[in-house]
Amino acid sequence: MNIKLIVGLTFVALIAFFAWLPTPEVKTAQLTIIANAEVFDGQQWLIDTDVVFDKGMIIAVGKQLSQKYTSATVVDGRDKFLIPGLIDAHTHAWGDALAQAVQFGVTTEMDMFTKHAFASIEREKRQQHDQDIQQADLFSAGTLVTSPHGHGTEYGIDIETITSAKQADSFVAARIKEGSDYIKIVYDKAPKGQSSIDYPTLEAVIKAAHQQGKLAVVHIADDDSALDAVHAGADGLVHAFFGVDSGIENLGLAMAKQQQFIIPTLSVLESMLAANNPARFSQAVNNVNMLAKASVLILAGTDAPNPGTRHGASLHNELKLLVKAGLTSTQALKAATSNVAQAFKLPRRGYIKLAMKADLVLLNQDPRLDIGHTSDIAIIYKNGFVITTSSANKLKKQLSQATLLGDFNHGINSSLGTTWLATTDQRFKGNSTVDFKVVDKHISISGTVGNQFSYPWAGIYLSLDHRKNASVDISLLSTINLRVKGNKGRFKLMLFTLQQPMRPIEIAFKVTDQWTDITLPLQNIDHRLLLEVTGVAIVAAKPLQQFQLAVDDVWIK
Amino acid sequence: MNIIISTASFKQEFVLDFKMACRELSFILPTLLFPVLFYVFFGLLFNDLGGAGGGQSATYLLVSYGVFGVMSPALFGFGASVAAERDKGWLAIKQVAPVPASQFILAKLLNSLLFSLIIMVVLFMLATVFGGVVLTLIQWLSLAALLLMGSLPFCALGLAVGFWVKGNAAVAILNVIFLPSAFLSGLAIPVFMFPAWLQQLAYLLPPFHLSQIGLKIIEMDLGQSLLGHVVMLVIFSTIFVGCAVKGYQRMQSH
Amino acid sequence: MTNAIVVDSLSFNYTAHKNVLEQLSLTVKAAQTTCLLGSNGAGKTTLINLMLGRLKQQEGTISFFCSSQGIELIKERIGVMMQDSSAPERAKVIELLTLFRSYYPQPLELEALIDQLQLDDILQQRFGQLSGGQKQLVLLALAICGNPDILFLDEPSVGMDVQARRTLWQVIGQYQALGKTIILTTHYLEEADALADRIVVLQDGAIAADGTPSELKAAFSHKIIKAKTTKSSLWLNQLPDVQQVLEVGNYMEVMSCNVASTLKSWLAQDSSLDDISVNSSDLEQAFLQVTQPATLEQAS
Repeated sequence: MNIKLIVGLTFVALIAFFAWLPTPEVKTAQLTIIANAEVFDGQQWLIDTDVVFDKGMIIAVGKQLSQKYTSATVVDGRDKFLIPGLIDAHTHAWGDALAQAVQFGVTTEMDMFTKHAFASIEREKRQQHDQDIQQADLFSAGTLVTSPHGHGTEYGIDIETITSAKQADSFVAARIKEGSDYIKIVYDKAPKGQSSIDYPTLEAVIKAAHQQGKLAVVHIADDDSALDAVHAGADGLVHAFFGVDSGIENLGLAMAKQQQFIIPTLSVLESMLAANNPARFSQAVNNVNMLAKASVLILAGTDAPNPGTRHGASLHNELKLLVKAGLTSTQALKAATSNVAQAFKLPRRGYIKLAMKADLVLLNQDPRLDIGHTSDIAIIYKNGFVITTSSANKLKKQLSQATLLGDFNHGINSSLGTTWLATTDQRFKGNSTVDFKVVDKHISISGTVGNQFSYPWAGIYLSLDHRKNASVDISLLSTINLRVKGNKGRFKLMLFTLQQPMRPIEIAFKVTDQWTDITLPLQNIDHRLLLEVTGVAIVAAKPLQQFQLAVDDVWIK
Repeated sequence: MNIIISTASFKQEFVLDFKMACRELSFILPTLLFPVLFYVFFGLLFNDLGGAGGGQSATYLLVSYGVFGVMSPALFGFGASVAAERDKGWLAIKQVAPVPASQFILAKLLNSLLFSLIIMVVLFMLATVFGGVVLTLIQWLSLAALLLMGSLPFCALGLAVGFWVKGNAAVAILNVIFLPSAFLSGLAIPVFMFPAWLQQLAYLLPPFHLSQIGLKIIEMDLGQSLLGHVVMLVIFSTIFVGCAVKGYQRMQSH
Repeated sequence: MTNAIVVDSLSFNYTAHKNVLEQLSLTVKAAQTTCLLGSNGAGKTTLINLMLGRLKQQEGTISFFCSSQGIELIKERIGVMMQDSSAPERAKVIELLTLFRSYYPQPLELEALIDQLQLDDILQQRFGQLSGGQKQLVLLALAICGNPDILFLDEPSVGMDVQARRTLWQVIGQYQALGKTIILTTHYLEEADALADRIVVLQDGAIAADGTPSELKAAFSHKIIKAKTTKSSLWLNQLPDVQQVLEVGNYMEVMSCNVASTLKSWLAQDSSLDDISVNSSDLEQAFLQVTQPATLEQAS
């Protein structure tokens, strides 16, 4: 055989072999141009604008840049809306919080208390401007400043506390040594349950922080505490406050004058109060409205992952609430971008400008028309890399709006594509029985609850996802509503959650022989348990009872 | 003087050498199978049992057995085979034939490299398919280039022994050099698991330095300087080449 | 007639105190078959290795074809069959031939080579599977495959059977007919006698005798009278035409260039003479005669 042929083939085979060998997916941040989008640069809207970025940094913003950057990958932004990566100004980050957040376009999180060790590790990553980190950047207060047994000590993290103003300097120095980017202080002027630091200490800590070159932000709940914090020179308040004091307007003017900001965290207040104390919630909303009118700098923050909130997802809800509180859509966007950058003096974030990080969110619809459009995301860029939707996220559905679980007008299917089934304790060798049928556009259930299993039940069950073991996040929803009539007595709604596989969440309700609308609140349930709910059951659970139950219009809202 | 007579003649030389190596089972089996079997046992099978960090040891041992793998054709396919041919007078016949020594030495060298390449390709395939080893293209290519280049000092060592010692004795001596030096260089068990005095010994062994350069490519080395390893290998190679040349000259005056 | 190889004042030693070759000069004529004879240690292998360039020259010169060309430049024109050498056992005969033919610019046709050496049957066999004689033939094939002008054959017939030796002789004959130069060493004097145009006898690193086989035979063309006698060797030496006297057991061997006159004189003067036999000398004895100096000295 021809030797040249053999040598040639061998070379080709070798080249093919080396080309075949697996290599890590090394993604290089490519020179990219997002062309012809309508761009919110952090302050104003620019029509038909091109944004060019390379190696994680924005290198040009202007018109017709694709002629200049011919080698760039072009992303068509026509009829799309480009905003800076969102910044959540109030979170508590641990675990995979930062990876979760970026999935929703939140590219930076301002943490207001976490383990300083976690913060130290994650802080490093925000320096890697050109790396594909697939998570949000973190700025963190690290350990908060609170009194012994004050707010912040109840979470099982062993933290240092402060008892007097004299300790302020060294206490702040210790926080800075741990890496804190700013100092967060918990203050309550008239503590009821938990203790609090006193005013002199508050003032001393703020002063110490300023002397050591850090911002001091203060957690308050009521108007009096807010007044104190503003008076003491805090750089910002990290929650909205309650109270209807007439001094509020003066407070607003003072804050505006002294350039003090507020992070209302309406999301967490809504989830705590909207259902059981709407009046108190509207106080907070009104106060935000008042402060906004007074031109106080307002920052969007969620306090995620407190009950009813989630990293990333909840920031979009916060924007809606800010608009509800009187901000324009563009003001709300500023609250989640440039305002945070300005307030916390964040480098390279919050704007779409030259030399900013390529943290960008491309929206399909105009958020000025409806702020809710911020969650209609086309592409998210973090450090210039496209955020890939995580498989976990794809598998985990999230219900964010009212969903019909069954109206039984056309059979026993839910709007989720799943079907109601009979459920009893027979699989645990119980002797309960059940039977159901659809009658007159409702479902009619009859059966007996046996006595052989210690926790007997009989009733109907609905999976929230047709895939086996797939779960649905219902933590953004607040109630389950249904219409019932039947034997007088107590029945139960059960929620099955992967978080607690052997013990379903149970909510009892009363039934009469008349049709009754029942609203079962979810707020009091541990938020964590609602993240992975697999199914819901409506059951009779008292032993030795013949029962009749009719159910109609089951909603989760 | 030309290095080879002609490509056609060199092809004959190379192909015949390759065929003869393939016909010699006592060469081909241990040379090809040992590194592959060792890698399968220690790099892949044990590895699976080991669980966490498995990919790490599959990668680490890929370098170890890669070095082990290229040593064998260099020492035996090249060195011992030259010794055997000298013993039989075949070398003498070639010396008086109008063929430059460079032609048949080069043919043997390329054959040794070819066997190294085959072993390497097999190891790389096993590593990727069963060991889940993932490296950058630069790492793969540097490792391949290193293993091929790195076999040269062992070729020189094999040649030196081949020129100084008679055929069978050469094989015996090379075996005495091969296995213990491979082991003491940390190819089977990483050097840092040895007692301190034994670790010192590793510094005197070429396979140690070669494997450290390889481990440097995959960032699993002991962290000594690259230059140091290269200098050591160059020193060893110089000594071996010197010995080989002396041995050749000695043959010419006896 | 041109000179193929001119060796001039060649001296060589392996160790400082003893020279293996001592101021040796020799001219090998082209188109002749020259046979080097000599006992072990006489220096013939050293001489050949020096000619082939396998040993480094120390003193004196060796030149080929009337020029100062060293061996390196005319390697294409020589073929060598060396003593105690063999090819790799795992190579097939055909592969060896093909390889060696590729070394030469104008090699013999493969077919002709195979025919000449009758290698047809063993072409596909591995070298290691061949008999001793077959091996020698293959090595001879390798030596002549380049169609060399000078052929070195160092003990070519060692290990050959009758058939192989006949083939060898034929090949040498053909080569001689083609006008090639052959340098041959052999143990078989019969072979030297039959093949050589010229015989050079080496002894202690110097040339002890040099001539055609017939010249050598003529120079030593005496007969040996073997008999029992009481006379001393000194007495016998005084007899007419006596060249040499050897005492072998009870017998005396008297070498004479004129048996008739020697015997006549001996019979006349020695009454104890008994058991007489007369043998003619051959090359082998001539060889012994020149290479056993000790006996000669003793005798003279």
